[in-house]
Amino acid sequence: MTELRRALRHYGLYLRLAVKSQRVYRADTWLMSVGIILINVIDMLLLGVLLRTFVRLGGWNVWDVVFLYCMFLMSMGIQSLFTMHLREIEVHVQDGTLDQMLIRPVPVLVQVLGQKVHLKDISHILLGVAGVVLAADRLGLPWTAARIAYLAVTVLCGAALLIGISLALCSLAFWTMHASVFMSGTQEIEEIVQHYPVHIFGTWFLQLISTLLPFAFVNYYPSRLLLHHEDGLPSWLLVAGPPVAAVVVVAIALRVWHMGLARYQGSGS
Amino acid sequence: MTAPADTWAPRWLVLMRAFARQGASRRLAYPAGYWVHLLNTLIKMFGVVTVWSVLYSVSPGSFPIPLPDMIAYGAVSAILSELLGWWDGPHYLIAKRVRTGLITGDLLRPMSLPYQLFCLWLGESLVVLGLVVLPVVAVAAVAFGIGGPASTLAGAQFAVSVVLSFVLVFCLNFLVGLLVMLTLNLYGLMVLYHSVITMLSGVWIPLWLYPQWLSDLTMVLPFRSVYFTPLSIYVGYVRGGDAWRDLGLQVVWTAVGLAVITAAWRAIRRKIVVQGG
Repeated sequence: MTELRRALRHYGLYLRLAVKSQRVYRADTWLMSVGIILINVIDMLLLGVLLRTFVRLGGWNVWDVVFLYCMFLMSMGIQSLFTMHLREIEVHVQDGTLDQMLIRPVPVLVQVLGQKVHLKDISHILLGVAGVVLAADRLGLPWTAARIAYLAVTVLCGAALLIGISLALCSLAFWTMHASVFMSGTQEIEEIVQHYPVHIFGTWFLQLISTLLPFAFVNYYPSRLLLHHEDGLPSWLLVAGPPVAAVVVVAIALRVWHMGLARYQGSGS
Repeated sequence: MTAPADTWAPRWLVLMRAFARQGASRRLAYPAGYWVHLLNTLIKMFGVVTVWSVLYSVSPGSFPIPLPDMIAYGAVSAILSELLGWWDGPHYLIAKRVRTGLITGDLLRPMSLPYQLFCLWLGESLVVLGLVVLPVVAVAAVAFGIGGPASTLAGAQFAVSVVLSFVLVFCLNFLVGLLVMLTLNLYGLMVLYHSVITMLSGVWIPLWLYPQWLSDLTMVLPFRSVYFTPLSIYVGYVRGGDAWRDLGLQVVWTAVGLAVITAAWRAIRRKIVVQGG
């Protein structure tokens, strides 16, 4: 336990440095934040155009879909804010730059994660919160303590899930040298899960994203509960599903990371 | 040693071949990347096909064309977006070369940079056409039952239209690249460009579903020519005289695009600031 506390404390120290170095690029951060908001607002506007005509998609109306979309934004924002640079694991493997981290008395993963922070992604989170609040207002959903707690917990679980999936995929670089292809391999599926209520894609797709690539626990299942679309789903799945999925995925990801790190051989120079 | 065939070929064609080959090998460098690309294209097609089928079953009256045609619109658009890309085209190459300073080498070559980049992109696109688009088209026809173009004439017009779109989107990408050169900010511009294309080209949602003011806006901009023109010809939403008119408009936009990049490149090439070196 003390080891975990120590690791967390170190992570905090690293993060503070990362924030400092990010703040040098203030204009860039602002510009990118505006870009992120623009891209997502236009995406939602187009969903609005679509649902203006059709009113419902798989039984969900436009505000249901905005809620779904923005829940994903929040989890993805947390993931990107802290762990976007996991994609650079492959660069570390190629260049052998983990050498210097292996000799420090801090876990390598803490050092890798603590290297950077992506402040622009705060805009993902802010837009996500704004969209969820607005949609809940339009749908007349109440904000009880239990619902807020459930939302907060599932967003964090969703973030953990996304982080776990990306850590596992990026760690494959220890075997293959290149891992960005695995990351982009899930890109279209993520797009689909973010945009649409996924039951319209049929049972097999829903099973795929509930088990092998459990993206559905990020926004789909929590939204079904919060939007009162839970008909036909067992409540244990909706309540316990996201945390269980998050824990399993993170455990697997850490295992893959450690197995990979054990294979790491440096650059040989 | 040059092959005998090169002796009669005009110089621009020889250069095109050389650069296209380089572009092709860029694409072929990572086989794993290829499989992921193929898989993603299939998933994207599956996604749009499903969404349109579901929406059609909700309200068939909202569509000016029958269901199979609407599904074809979505599937062909998903496939076309692999050829008419706006994320990692010439602008990305320009930005990268300005950053690393490689652009100085490109400028030394006795061949204009726009043409170099066009040939590179052509080579990459031919690889994508052969190895991604054709297999996906086969899957689309066999597994998804996507129909062909509305008529033989529509098919021919579609083919011409796609070629024009290819040149037009190159011009747009190149202009974005020049803006990146001036502002040295890739991400912000790319995001803006992406938003404009997804909103105004009809790549995701056919323009007939747009509110009037938005579809009016697309009429005066070039983006609609990139996706909506070939797609609406393919499914037979636009035919006869209207199809020729849209093709004509595409020719005009493409000519304007080529003229603008030539002029802009001439004006800008002496002002380039190289970041690295």
